[in-house]
Amino acid sequence: MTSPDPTSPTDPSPYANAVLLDHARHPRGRGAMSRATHRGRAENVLCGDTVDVSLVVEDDRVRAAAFEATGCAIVVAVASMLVERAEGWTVAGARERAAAVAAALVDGTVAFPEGFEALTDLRALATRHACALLPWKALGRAIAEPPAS
Amino acid sequence: MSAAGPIAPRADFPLLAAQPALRYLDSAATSQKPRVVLDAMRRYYETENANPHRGAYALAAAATVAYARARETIARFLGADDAETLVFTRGTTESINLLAAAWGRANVCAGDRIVVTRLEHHANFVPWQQLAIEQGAEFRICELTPDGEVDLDQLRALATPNTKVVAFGHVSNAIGTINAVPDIAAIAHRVGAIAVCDGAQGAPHMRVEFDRLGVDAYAFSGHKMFGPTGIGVLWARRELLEAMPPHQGGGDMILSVSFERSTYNEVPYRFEAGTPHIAGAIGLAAAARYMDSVGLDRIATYEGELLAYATRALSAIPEVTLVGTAPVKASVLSFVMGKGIHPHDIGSILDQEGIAIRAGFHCAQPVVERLGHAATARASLAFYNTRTEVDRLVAGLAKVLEIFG
Repeated sequence: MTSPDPTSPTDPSPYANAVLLDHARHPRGRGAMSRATHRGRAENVLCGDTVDVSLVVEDDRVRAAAFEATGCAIVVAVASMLVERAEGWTVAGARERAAAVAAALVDGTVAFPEGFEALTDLRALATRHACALLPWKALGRAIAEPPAS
Repeated sequence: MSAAGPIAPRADFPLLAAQPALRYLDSAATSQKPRVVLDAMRRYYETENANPHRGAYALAAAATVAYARARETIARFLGADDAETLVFTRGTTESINLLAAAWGRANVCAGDRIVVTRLEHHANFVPWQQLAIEQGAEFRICELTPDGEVDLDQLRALATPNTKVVAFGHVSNAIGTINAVPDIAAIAHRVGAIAVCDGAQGAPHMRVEFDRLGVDAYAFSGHKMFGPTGIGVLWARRELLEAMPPHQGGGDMILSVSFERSTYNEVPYRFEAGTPHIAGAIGLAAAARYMDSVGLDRIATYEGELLAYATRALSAIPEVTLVGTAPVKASVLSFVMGKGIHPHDIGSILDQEGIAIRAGFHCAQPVVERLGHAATARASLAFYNTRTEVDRLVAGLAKVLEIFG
């Protein structure tokens, strides 16, 4: 048995994915949102990474979204993609997307939701799936909580 | 240092031999196993397997002898005269839990004090914290100097006459500090406390002699010193072990059992309830023989030179900050990178280059957080690593900087 060539070009890497890298380097929607109606936090206790997602939800639709994070490039990139694309989602649609991302990471036959195809390059990196799911957990908690007063 | 190769050849380690491109820099988490360890365990199962201390047949006697010889080999390796002061456990964690449960519950009372250091792995922190809560004792933490050494002045102040235990590591798994073990033990003894040393990162790298260290108890794991998983040792002074009640009941730990009561077996068997991990003990003894064959002093010299080389190489990268700069260190390099680059991203990018390092808290959250970091990246070296591998690590970090540049 020999080891796989570590520099094999067939190995998809999130660190070679232009979309993910762009979001990691230039995150969108990062910061506090004082007018949020819904907030959710998720923490990875193994590494201490934390994501806070803030939403404005009106008439069952996400009108605005922002995030704050202490985390790795994958956490930041996924959180950035999420808040950039969330505007206009229904609450149920947000939940469906979160479930679809979790399923698609581990099952190659499940498609990622539209706009999240770049996450395909994370499939092979099982040790980092928890990072990719952290912003989605924070989103799930935001819409599971009763609206912030 | 010879440029020809490491003092422990990769060919001796089947996994490293089979994966020539792998740069394994995570031996502080677990070490790779030499073929002689795997062969010794296989030989036992194929030629001597039976339940020791039972059975009136030759094979059971052979298993008993093999198990006893393993204990004696490991005792000699550690410089212990009395092999019966070695208790086989599943590893460091179980060893410390055993001591905290059996000795601690019998000897630590309300109003007593337990002192640990900020450097501790969770295995030498949580059991004592739990004991303190259970018994109503005080749990105090000795802080570190800015370089990451135990602050001995503070330890002297914390070691009050009501202190029963001072628990500390031989070598920090998170930042590599080699503690001044005899000095710490002396501080404990001055107030009548026992000195308990977590040797998980000591035994794989240096000569361990309990008399020289001056400790009362020492715990380590087989799998970090080139032996199998699932086996470890608690060594303690005989009088300490003699005064300890058993922590688990079952077979092997008793002399006689009746409806009313049981009479407990002698040390160390009273702490080894149930059929022991015989093959593990034999594998660990083979690992000790392998380390002896390479030479403990040679290992210390080789790893010291490799650490110095790696420290220079990483220090030369402006974006890298080494975490833990104690003057006396084992071959652990904990570091963070500027530009907000997260240790997990460093780990994943290096992995794609065939370099295995650890990222996170290293099961030592109190020290990593105290040094001001959410997590660190950690490269740890052993006697099968080389300067070339350190060079590969440096090249890998250049790639990390390229990606996040």
